[in-house]
Amino acid sequence: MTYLVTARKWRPMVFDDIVGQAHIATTLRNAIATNRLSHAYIFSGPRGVGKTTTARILAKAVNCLAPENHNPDNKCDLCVEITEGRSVNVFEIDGASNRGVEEIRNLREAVRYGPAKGKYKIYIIDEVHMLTKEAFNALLKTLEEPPSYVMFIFATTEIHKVPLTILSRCQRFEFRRISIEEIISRLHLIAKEEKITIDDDTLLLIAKRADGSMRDAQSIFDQVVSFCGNKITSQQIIEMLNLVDEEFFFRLADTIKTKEIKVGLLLADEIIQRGYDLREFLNGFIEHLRNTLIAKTTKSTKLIEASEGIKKRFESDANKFSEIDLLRLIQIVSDAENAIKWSRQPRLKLEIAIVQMIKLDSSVEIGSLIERLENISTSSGDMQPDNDLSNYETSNRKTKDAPIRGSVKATQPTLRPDQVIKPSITLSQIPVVAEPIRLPTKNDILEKWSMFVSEARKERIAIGTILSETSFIDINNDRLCISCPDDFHADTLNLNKNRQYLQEIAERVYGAKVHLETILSSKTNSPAILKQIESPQENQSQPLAQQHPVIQALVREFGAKPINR
Amino acid sequence: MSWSSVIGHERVKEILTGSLKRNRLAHAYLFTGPEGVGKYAFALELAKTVNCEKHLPEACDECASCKKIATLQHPNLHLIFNLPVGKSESADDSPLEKLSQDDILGIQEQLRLLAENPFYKLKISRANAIKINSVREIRREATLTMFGSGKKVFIIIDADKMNDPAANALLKTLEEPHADTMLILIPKMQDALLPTIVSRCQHIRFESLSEDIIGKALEERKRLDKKTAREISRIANGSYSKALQLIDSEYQNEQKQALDLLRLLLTRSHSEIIAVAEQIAKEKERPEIETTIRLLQQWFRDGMAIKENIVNPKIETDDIALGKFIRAYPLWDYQRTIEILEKAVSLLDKNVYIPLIIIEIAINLRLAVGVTPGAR
Repeated sequence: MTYLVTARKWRPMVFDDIVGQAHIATTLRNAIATNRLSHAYIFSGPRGVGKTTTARILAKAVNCLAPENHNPDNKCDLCVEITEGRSVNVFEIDGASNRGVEEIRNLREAVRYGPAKGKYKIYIIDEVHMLTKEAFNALLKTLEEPPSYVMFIFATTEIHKVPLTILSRCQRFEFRRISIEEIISRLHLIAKEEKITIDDDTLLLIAKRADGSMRDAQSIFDQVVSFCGNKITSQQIIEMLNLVDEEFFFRLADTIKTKEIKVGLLLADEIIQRGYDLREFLNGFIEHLRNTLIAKTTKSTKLIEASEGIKKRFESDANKFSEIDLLRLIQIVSDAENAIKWSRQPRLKLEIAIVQMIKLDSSVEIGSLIERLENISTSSGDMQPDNDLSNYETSNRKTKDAPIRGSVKATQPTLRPDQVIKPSITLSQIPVVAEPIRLPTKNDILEKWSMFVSEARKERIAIGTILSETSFIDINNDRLCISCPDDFHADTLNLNKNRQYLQEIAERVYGAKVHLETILSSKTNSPAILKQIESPQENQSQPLAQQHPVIQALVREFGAKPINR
Repeated sequence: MSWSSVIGHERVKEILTGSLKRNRLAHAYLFTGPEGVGKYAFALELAKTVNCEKHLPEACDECASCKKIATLQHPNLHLIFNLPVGKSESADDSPLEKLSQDDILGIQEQLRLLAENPFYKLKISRANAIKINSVREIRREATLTMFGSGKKVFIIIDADKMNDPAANALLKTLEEPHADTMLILIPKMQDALLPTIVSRCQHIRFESLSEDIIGKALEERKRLDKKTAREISRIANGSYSKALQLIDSEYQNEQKQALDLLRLLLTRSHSEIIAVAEQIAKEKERPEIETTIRLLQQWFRDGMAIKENIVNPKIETDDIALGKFIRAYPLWDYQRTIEILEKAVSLLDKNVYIPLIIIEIAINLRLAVGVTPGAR
């Protein structure tokens, strides 16, 4: 005998067997009992909850020759014919394949003739949402007032695609998702009949994954049986379905806390090597974060569905993150989960999500911040702020002081301290008292700028070249300001070694000690100056006055021309 | 061992041989997992096994039936894949009826390549979707009498490319097909399938292949020496197809082109970039551009990994261009770049005008480096 999958073999045959839809089964049975059947029904609901099954049972129940308690007996000729799909009175039409207006016109023609056997001529249109608009409209008149012996039963997962004019002509039944308990008890029954040993914990694993659909549950059940034979343990299921080990969630949470990007990326690699389904992993991590949040806010683990050992770990982990951080993490993970659905490179998405989470700064709640500030002002003697606040302050100050580099993303309210590049000159580097030697003036510097560059190039070509791409802006006491076209230049010049080298050269050329200070040209927003100074050779021929920034600005903004006296 | 063209996947083998032994094969399977791990090869092997004249849980690879399936000539084996739409084609025509001679020849050539190498990826020009005609063909074929014993096997490649009517038309067949019929769906992305389709299939998940397995397969099948095989398996990212690509010189060429494009986008002025973009739009088809963007994305990912100091053997550290790049742009925002490119691919899928996509990439890349557009 050919093997039938469980979902087909165990398709319910009477109203009583329908799982989880008691409200519908009862209504239909009462309708038959009181002879108040409608001529058109529409069944809607998610996949695998029993729409087609109910439609078939209803078709049999109204035609059955010997109904028992308004259930079909499944033994009489008519029932058997319908079950085998060779009845001349019951037409099961695939709405997705026969969706055109032509098919509906044929149907209308056929409706005029009465049933050959039994009381009713029944049209079951499955996937009815796929009918075209014209087809629906062609059906309207027939649907409103069909001959007394005709009954329509529509089934669909996408009720919103069915026109309202159709809906209003039908009695509508909404099928519910099937609860985990109901799925377990049904699978339990099937397992018993098929002589398969399986415990309730294992069934729970299956039912959880089925997500409210009986057919999904039975598909997984089938797969498990064909993998394990007649004796099934939860360990085998975990192996077969390759479920994610809880340990990974704890490790990821730790890594986020310790902020090690490297560890995070290596962890991502391990997850992928294990072959876990990445969406499943992210979903699991959302649940993990949710559990942490619950452990933190309710201070108990009652609402967590997990084994005792794991609950204990949640208890001890509860204070790792603040509530706001948990919410932000959940947001990141759920965004990533959403994006991964449509990504052909899920690995990248996972890695990015992990890096994002690790880079996330711990936030400080405004309420507690204000409280702390008040504490500080009241405790006048001791000005030492507590730990968290000082962290907050330093990180805040650093972002303010740092030169503008790259772009700061809106999703990262504050930068991590080590991510922020130190200002090119720190306070300690500026001597408080200038040394008593003659400092070069601006003109001195400009005159010898090309010499300075070529001197620098003599010993170290790379530095010289980079220097030649920068331009001199100003000299202020002993601070030599140089404008750099981008941060690559600035960073190179700011390397301690290079800075020292250049300062030595400057001393040789200008006879004075200077300190190098770099500014990004985007900050000076005076391209005219830069251009002028970038080519010092040309500058030599121009009167010095023209190189003065004020004059430059006049020329640029007002188109001023020099007057030769 | 006769699951011969299959590499790795012991767990999946166990599930399927278990079903075969216990006579519990489902009528519909959904094979999901990363690209290039051999889902199609596995499906073909399953088709062989159920049609093999010796009726063992493993195909014999010797009988006429096995050989015919291996060359894709068995009458019980049906492949369904993306097809172009012919001129004035209606849903009632058979899928190939209205196609031009050139199209048919192209498809035949692609199938020949697929028969030679089950890891080959079909590239049929202008083929954007699985047509409803093809799905109707499944229904029609399924009702015809079978050739010999065994099962009629329908392998639907890139099943997520079925458009809405096609997918819905498959539902009824998928739920209760004729006896001795088996459907195997292989989508690129599972979530692009209707939930109603997923729920009707037995879902089998494939995993990335480990480096050892890929390395061994390369040694045995491609006669590579141990060292090269290992090197390639390291960067193949768990995909055997990728490994095969890496051997291919065409791939290296593609990578070079991708880097050239990156250089252009970063250094040229806007007007030049517009010209380049239009040039590319003229010369290349969307799938080619997608490959280029994917290569760049991979490249930046490696950059991120190197920058985070992961001493991970996975990464080609001897990629000179990458090393230079990292040094030249110490503040480059890799994470953002990867997102930019991801967005570009999604725009590409949505049929956005190609030059616009390229210009968008160029502008955004300049933001990632911190240089404002037009500054250079």
